[in-house]
Amino acid sequence: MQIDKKKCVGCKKCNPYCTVGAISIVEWEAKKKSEVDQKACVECGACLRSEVCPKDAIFMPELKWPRIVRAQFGNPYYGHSGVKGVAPPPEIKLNDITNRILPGVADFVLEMGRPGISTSFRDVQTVCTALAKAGVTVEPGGPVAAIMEDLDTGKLKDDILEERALNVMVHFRLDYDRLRPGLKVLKDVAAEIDTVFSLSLVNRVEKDGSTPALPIAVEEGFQTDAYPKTNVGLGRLQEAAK
Amino acid sequence: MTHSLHRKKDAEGLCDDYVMLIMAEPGKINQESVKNRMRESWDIISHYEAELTNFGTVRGGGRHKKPIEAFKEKNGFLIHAVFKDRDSLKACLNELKDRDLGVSVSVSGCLEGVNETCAEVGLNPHTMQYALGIHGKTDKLPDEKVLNIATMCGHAMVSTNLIAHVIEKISKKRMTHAEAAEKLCGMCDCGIFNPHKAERLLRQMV
Repeated sequence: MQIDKKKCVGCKKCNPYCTVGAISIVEWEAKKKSEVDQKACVECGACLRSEVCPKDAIFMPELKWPRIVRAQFGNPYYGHSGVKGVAPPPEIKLNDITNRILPGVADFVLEMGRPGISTSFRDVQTVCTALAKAGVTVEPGGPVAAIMEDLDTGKLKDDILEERALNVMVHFRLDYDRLRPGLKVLKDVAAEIDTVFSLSLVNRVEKDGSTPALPIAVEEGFQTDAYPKTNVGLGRLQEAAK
Repeated sequence: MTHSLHRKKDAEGLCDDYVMLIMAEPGKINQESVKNRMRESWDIISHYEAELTNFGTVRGGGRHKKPIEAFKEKNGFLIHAVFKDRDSLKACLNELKDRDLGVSVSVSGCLEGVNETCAEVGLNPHTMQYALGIHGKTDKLPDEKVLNIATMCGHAMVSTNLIAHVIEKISKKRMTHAEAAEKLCGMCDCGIFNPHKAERLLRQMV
């Protein structure tokens, strides 16, 4: 995002809307103007969509590779459409129709930079390579896989490593017998990154109502400290629906 | 996207925040059937409009952008509806079950409330998604109360600076709690931010 200093009147109205605090006041031709720190900006577009600028000074320039990955992983209106047309998997949503996540496996979504801190892609690579070393590969076909140099090593494309994004979702899956070592990798790698990640576990509900992976995760020190999401089981393939 | 997940539990244990997501599988078999079933789903949701604190769809804007009728005609594949009480959530789930549209329905909210509701409606949860915490450099995170508000927009469009900004305005009596909650809600373009809960949290803070 950028602010046209010729139009900006330095009113500061846009400053608080920046999701990563990248807008500040600077001196420009002896006047106070708002400016976007291009290194910190994640191209989420919140400042522009706030429509708070009285002079229409905020604009999004044409984004090219590699900077476009910032918008692809943080601007809801970009989605992941530029990453080879790949959208993130729907996780729990639709699972009663697709059965993408079957009993006996624990599906994980690791959201780098969430909530609202942002992440460098170098940190994303740190997590992906740590997982790969433990034999855990990122789910093929997703947006992160699309920006990888090598799925087996977890290495990302070199030219995006210094880019930043608001939320990079890393999807991977662990069989129950690999659950504890996999979770230990996450504990260890959390200490190596300069950001945060929000972690979630998707698990099928067994006939007795249990979700077997959850108590294992709790035993490994992962507390479930927020509201869960429940797929209530109403979905069916279209032919079967009335 | 897990954008309705990671909403923080309330220290007071209040359950006034249930996000329902209705989704039909797009691009397969019969597009017209999907559109009809989503339109019927919006019909059901509209019966609870007065009880909903927000509604909308991804990139379609929320309650602040357009009325339910406009969403019905949009032909989207995803519906968000935010309930502030369990009774209306239960009634809506009952209707969805009776209509048997075959659309996939997920609910984010306090576990006890959702479990009890499912049991009362006669639904057997199919899959669960649990938030397993925030890890890494957690010293970068804002105050817990600010985080409780900010995490209601899963795309993180409600910045912590904006929350601080409206708190300052409330303190200076330039904005009411309700106006501040609406201001924050306006940044969420998916209709999942809960302004009712935000107002309650803001009242606790100022």
